[in-house]
Amino acid sequence: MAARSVSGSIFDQLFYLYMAIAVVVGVLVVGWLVYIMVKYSARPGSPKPRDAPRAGVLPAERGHPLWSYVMALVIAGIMFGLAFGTISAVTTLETPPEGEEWLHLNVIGFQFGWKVEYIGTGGIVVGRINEWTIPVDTAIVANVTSQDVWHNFALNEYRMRIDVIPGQTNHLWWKAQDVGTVEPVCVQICGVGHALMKARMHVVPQDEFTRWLSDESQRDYGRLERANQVLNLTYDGAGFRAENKSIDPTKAFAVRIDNQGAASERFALGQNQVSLASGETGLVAGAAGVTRLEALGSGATFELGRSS
Amino acid sequence: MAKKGLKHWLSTTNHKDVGILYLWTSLAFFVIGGIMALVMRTQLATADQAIFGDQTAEIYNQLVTMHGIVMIIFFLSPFAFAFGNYIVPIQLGAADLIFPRLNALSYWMYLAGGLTSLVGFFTGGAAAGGWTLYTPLSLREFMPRVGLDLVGIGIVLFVVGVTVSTINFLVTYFKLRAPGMKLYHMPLFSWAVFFTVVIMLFAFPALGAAGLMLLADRNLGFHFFDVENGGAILWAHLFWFFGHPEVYILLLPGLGAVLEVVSTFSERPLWGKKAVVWSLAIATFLSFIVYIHHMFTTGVDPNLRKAMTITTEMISVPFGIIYLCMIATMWGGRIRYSVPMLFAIGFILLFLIGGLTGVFLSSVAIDYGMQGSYWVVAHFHYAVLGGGVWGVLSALYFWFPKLTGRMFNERLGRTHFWMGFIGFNLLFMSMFFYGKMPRRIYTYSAEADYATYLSVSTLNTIATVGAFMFAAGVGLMLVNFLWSWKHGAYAGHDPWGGDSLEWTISSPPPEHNFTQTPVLLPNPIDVEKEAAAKAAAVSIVPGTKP
Repeated sequence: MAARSVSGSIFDQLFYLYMAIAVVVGVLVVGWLVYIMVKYSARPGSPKPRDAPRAGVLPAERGHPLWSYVMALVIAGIMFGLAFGTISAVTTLETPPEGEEWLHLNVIGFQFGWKVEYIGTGGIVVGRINEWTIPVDTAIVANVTSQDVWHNFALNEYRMRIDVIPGQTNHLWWKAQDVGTVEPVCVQICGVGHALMKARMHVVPQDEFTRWLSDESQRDYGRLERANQVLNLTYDGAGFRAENKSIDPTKAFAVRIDNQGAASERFALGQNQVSLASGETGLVAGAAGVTRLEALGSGATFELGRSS
Repeated sequence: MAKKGLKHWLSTTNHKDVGILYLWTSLAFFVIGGIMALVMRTQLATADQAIFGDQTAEIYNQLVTMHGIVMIIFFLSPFAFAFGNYIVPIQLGAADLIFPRLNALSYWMYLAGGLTSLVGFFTGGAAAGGWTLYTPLSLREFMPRVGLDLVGIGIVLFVVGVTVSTINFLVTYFKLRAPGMKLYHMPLFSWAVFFTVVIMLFAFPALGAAGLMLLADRNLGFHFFDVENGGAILWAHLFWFFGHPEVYILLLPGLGAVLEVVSTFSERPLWGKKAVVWSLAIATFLSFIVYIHHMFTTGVDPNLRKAMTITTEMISVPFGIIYLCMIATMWGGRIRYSVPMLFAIGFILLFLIGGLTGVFLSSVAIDYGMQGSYWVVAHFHYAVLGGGVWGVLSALYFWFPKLTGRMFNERLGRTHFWMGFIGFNLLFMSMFFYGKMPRRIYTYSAEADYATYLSVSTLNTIATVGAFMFAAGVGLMLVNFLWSWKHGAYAGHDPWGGDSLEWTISSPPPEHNFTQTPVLLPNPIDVEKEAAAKAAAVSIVPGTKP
């Protein structure tokens, strides 16, 4: 199964460059060694070299330093060439492509599995454990962290990986170029379940992904609704009116807004935002620690904790 | 060898006897660490196995951790220091190290540290979580077991012993060389051990400090490695500041021994000694400014990643020069392929692969694709087992006649070489071919897409066969030595035709090494050359002083 990727092809190019040089150097060294081993092998009657070691006598000086300098320059030249190749490749590997739409994800490692969070339709946070879906030919930009010990999120097929360190957020981007399923694994020993810390990542066409994410958002929304964690608000152009009882903003929640104002409006709950035309209804996902909903156009606000 | 009682071995301060203690102790740790490796290879021999049932993952994690700690800390360095103890003072023309009691102290701290670490297995679980002991996994919250504290204590004991020893060696180097012996005159093994102790002096304190901090966090409620304070990455920095130089600590003594073996068995002096010594010095320095390549994926500063890619690739320069000189030494020689020389050739071939594959991993871009995989395991073992251990095995065969006064059985030695060499390559070459497999996993699925050419299961089976073959070779070696120690043919002063001072005295050497002040004679060829140069200088400009 092909599983091409931007990082994978950069890796392959660089790997084969290093391999070519390693093979040439290896063959030269081994060839030279074998030649000398055969040519100067001791045979009956071969004369003792004039400068052969003698116990208690300092060894004779041998060899011209010039060869060492030449050798040093040659090796340093090759190595600088390789380092240059690496440095130009690594910039691409570390920087997501400019001028493209990125898909942002959160990847959270835990003992023993992976949780991936999307910002779904209407800002619903879609969380999936050990099995998730991404679109093909799209740059995925992930914020990666751990909730317990050190892990390493490795996309073996794409030749990319990043340490997953508690208390620190690392960044990783990748772009899959083939549809199919790949298997992200943990490559940093993290405890007794380390070997089984694998996930399945489905790579699907863009439109299929959009459908999937919207379905998942609906499903997660349904879950919130059943838990009475959806706050229904009506916006009249100047202020909000709550349609149901208060929600608990310390747990996962969503806000459903019905824009009855005359104009379109943009609503923000911290980082999570949604734009609604007049008469449209939409969702904003709850964000941890944010309790103030804001209509960015009119400046009207709504405090979630105090609604009734 | 005269019979020496238990009391003698417990109280000896003679550098040769301490060397023998180091030798047998480290070989015991080699066997213990090797058995752990064999158990792991048995578990991995085919896909989807669980040889200990439910406990397999837990036991495997303990083994993978303790195999690393035992081999890296309690086997290889002390194994090299068996010869550091035994041979270096003699090569310098000294009667002993300058502080013999401190030397004995170092040994006993080493033994105490090693045993303390192993005791963990009998306390309901040894340390698990990798020899790198990354926090927070090794903090009390995630690993409350006492086995991990024991490893911490063992490491701290060992570091204290090592630090004492480095001072002991350095003072010996500067104060106890034979009259007229300049630093430059030291044989290559002594030079290599010199640079090894310099690295130890600066690298081990980082590990000692990290170990103490870990113990304090675990037992006294300190907060060095708290996640909220960035403690996870702090441990990695401290550990790898030690961890990378440690690789050179493991490598250099073997390399130095191989340089002497190559020269002795080719019957030619080392080619470009000055270049080799300078290369060792440069490698010593570089070893401290490359460690970020172990942390390329941790999200450290991108410029640091690039800089350390360059410094790491530059390490090829000194080692390339050493290789050039090592092979050029054989040029024009009369090469005898006795067992030490076979192991030296093995070293050259295996460490070449270890070194070349290391260049791949020095590239931050390639490392993104390989970190934590079997490709790294293969590279590491080619460098440290194929390099470090293989070099010291060569040293062991080389100096065995000096240590015991007896020759080993040549045929058994050759068999060991071929079993070891073939087994080694079956074991670790196959790992390159399943290089995508994550390391430190106790089982794998037969369908996993980790391998090229053969299936991941087949390649693992080949590796396991190789491991047992390698181990059988080591068994042969032990049998050979135990038998030959008593029954081997007498060796005489200089069975191989070596040139350094240890070959001028009896085998085994007398209690205080030299019965009269040792003198190194200048080489007649160099004397002649100098005289000729002088004469030429006189004739070119008549009437002036040369």
